[in-house]
Amino acid sequence: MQNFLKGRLLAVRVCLLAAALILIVIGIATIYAVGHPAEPSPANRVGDLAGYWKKQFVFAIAGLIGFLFINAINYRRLGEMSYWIFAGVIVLLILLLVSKYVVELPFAKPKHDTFRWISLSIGGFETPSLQPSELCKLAYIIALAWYLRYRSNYRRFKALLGPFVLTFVPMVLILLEPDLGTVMLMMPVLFTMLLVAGAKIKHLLLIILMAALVSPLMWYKMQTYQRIRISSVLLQSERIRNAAEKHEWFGYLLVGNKFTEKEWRTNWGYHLIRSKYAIASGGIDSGKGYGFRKGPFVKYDFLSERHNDFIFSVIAQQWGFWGCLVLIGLYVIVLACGLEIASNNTDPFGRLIAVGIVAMFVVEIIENIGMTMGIMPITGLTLPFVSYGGSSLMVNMMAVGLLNNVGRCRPFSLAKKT
Amino acid sequence: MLLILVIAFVGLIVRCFCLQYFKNDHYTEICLNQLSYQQWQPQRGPIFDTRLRLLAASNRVQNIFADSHLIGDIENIKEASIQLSSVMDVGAHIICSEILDSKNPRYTKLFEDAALEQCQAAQKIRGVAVQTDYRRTYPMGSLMAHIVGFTSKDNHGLEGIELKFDEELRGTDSKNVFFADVRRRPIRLKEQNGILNDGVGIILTVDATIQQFVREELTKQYKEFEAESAMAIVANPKTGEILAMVSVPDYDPNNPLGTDPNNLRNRLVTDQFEPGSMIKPIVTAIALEKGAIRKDETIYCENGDYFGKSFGRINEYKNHRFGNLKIREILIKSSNIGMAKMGQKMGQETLYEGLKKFGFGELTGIELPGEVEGLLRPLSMWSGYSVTRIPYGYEINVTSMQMLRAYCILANGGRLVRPYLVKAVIDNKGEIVQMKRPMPPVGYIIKPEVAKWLINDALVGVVNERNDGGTGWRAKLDKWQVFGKTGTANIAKVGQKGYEDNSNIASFVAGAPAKDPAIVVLVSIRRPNGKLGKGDSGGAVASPVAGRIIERTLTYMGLAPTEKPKQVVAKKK
Repeated sequence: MQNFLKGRLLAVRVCLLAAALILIVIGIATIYAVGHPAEPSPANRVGDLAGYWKKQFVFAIAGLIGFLFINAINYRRLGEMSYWIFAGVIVLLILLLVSKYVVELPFAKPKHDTFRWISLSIGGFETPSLQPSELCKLAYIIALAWYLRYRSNYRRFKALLGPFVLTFVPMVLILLEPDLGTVMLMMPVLFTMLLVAGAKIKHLLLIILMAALVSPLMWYKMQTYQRIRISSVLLQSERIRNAAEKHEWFGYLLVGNKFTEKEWRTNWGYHLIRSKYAIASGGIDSGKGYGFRKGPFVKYDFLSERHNDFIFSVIAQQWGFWGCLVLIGLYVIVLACGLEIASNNTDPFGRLIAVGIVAMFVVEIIENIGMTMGIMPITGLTLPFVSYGGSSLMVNMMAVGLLNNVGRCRPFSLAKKT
Repeated sequence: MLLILVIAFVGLIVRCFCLQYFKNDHYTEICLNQLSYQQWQPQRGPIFDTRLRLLAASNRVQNIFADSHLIGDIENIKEASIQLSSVMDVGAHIICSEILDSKNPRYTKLFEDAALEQCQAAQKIRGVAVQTDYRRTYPMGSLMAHIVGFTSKDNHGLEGIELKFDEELRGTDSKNVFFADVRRRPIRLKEQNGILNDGVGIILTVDATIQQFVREELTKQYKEFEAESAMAIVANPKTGEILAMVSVPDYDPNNPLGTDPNNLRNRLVTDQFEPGSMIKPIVTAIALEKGAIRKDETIYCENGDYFGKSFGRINEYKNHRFGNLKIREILIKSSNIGMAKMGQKMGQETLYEGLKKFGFGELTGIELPGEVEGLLRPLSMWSGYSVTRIPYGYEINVTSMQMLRAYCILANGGRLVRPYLVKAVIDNKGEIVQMKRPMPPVGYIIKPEVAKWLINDALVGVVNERNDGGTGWRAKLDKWQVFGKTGTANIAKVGQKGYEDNSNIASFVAGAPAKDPAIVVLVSIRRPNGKLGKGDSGGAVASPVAGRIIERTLTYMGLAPTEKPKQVVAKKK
């Protein structure tokens, strides 16, 4: 376990780990800031978010252990177990749905009307809750990579059925929880991995076309709050809002309800507007932001989930444009390292794992940062390494561990490096 | 692939840059535009009677209300209604429909003045909350209804003192605007509008005990004579303090909407009528004052039929036929023709000026809303009839309050009196902020001798000389010498010429003790039922009420019985 650094690509892997750790530190600092603003506000109840940074710290330690744990064995042995791991996660997901639809299980209680968490209560002591859908991401990537390691599994159109079944089973289960964000993550990961594995582009385009044809039906089935999350990207434009208010059918199309400017300002668009304000007001002092633990969005509770999904807004508020640039830079380092590892490993399984993980990070980063700025639909995807959350941090660290594992192993095949 | 990645990240950075550099000012400016408002309601000031008995007070009550948005969907509302029904003891379906039909879905008032246990139980239900409010109560109920008035639900005075002193009683509320966070919790004060000040308290001159006497006696008579309405005032003629003021039918100020709107008005100040004989002593006073007649003059009363081209025909009440009458006899027997001649003697200018001085045709300035001026036509509009009709109380409209004031002036030795109702204003610590002292008398309307003679000779005679035609004998008391004058006025038809048959306003205005009057009482009963066989004149209907009111009031005030004055008849031979 101590020799996780041994092996190839040491510089790349150290960079990767360092970038990930810095991101975690930024995350803990920001969570600390929102829990302990420089000037305490009498309006906030004491301890609103006060203790969260400690928990996040513990999660980070757990994540590091996960990192080391993953490095204890060769990643190829993981491949052999991958279906079993995947099946285990599926069982957990099914348990959640049992709790939702059949009988409420004591360890799977709803939170905000969603069944996403499993937490054990041993002798009155709540264990930290586990989010199976987060675990599912990694299990899914490993299983998919294991499946796609043979060419015959994706070169023909019919053969694509396998990967899609592998995708749809967890996807439907997670969709029912419901957790839209994780579901939206899986498709891009699948396509990236298929593309890298060498699936034919025309097949993939055909599938995308089919999905595009089905999407109006999905839109039709969506609830108002779900539509709002997506259409809010458009609704930021005053012209579209006016049109939606003027033509009732257009408003119904966009939000599934009567659209009013007031409702947008006070309810539907509230989060997005606040988040944009938070980021924009970080532009003061020529882009340096308000400073650590300062700024109205740190001090006051203007934005719910500001320690979690919307943590980027708080970072932008505190450290301004340069802070954002540093944060995005660190992500770029993580991704670049991941791609470097992928390109240096000729084993299809290892390479697919690396690409899958990078794709997962990319989607999470772009989606999360994009949604705080209003260029992406609002989903529950967290900002990797930074957002508060045990399962997410743990899984991300394990993913980094996996990258590290893949990177330090010698290529299995003797084929020439391309 | 890599290209897409690069484009995506550059896109993120560009967007970030745009937001922070180009729209920074715009967003920073509206960053803190989420506001919350907090309004504090002042406590409305109490109203006391002259002995500090509580007439009106605002008490803190707890109201239960529901916010249907917070409760949730229709199933949740049903469930909440079922829970509430056990708390409030109201059917769940009623609560549910109330919440669903509410004009403001975020605020449905469900229950007023809830008990503590109810509040605690209700607060546990999601979307249901308790709110503190003030509720105006009137412990004396309808006793003081026409003086105190009542308020609307939103704390605005609508009648009586509540309306006249609305601003002072209401106090000032304060509405603060705050910047608010996502849960609408206030963060920082943006602007403060007004400072919270509870309303001041008002002490009235009215005495609830006297009011109670008056109301009892008046209501008894009003019912006995099946009258349309009745009113009475008691005042201190020296100061102008109103001691009691009753108008029936009345209403319960705790539930003002449950009554005929006609009963809401204070008829004493809002209703004007032709006073009839009540005005005769006033006109006589003017004539004596101006020297148009002498006290011992005799006027020939034409045997009950006075006719002239310019003024038409004048008859006596009940077709009495009087010959030569002295001035005091004209008043005692209430001769119309004698009065008409008196008017002719003094002329219309003198009459008009005199009535003006006594305050007819002008507001008395009593602190009640809706007071009317009555009607005293300007001289230019007088016809030949006027100078003969006004002296016995027609072609002139007065309010009871004006009439009372005129008699107070007589009883006060001719000095001006201003009737008033508000004694003092106190702050919420009970300290007097403002004394509303009566205006000191600024002059004599008539000479004291004239006033003394009218009271002690002529008006005492009205009460004492039953055998000599005195119309007010029913008001005679053993302990105190009462003076008074009856009035039985026809009611003019609405919208037509002439007067109604068989309906009149029976009035009696009196005071006691005659030597040094402590109170003046006016009783006026509209449309007593004459067919009951008990009479419908001022003497028959109103004077006994006035007598009993005076007796009870003076007893209550602890005034020593004055020795019975010598019989005026005996003195006169």
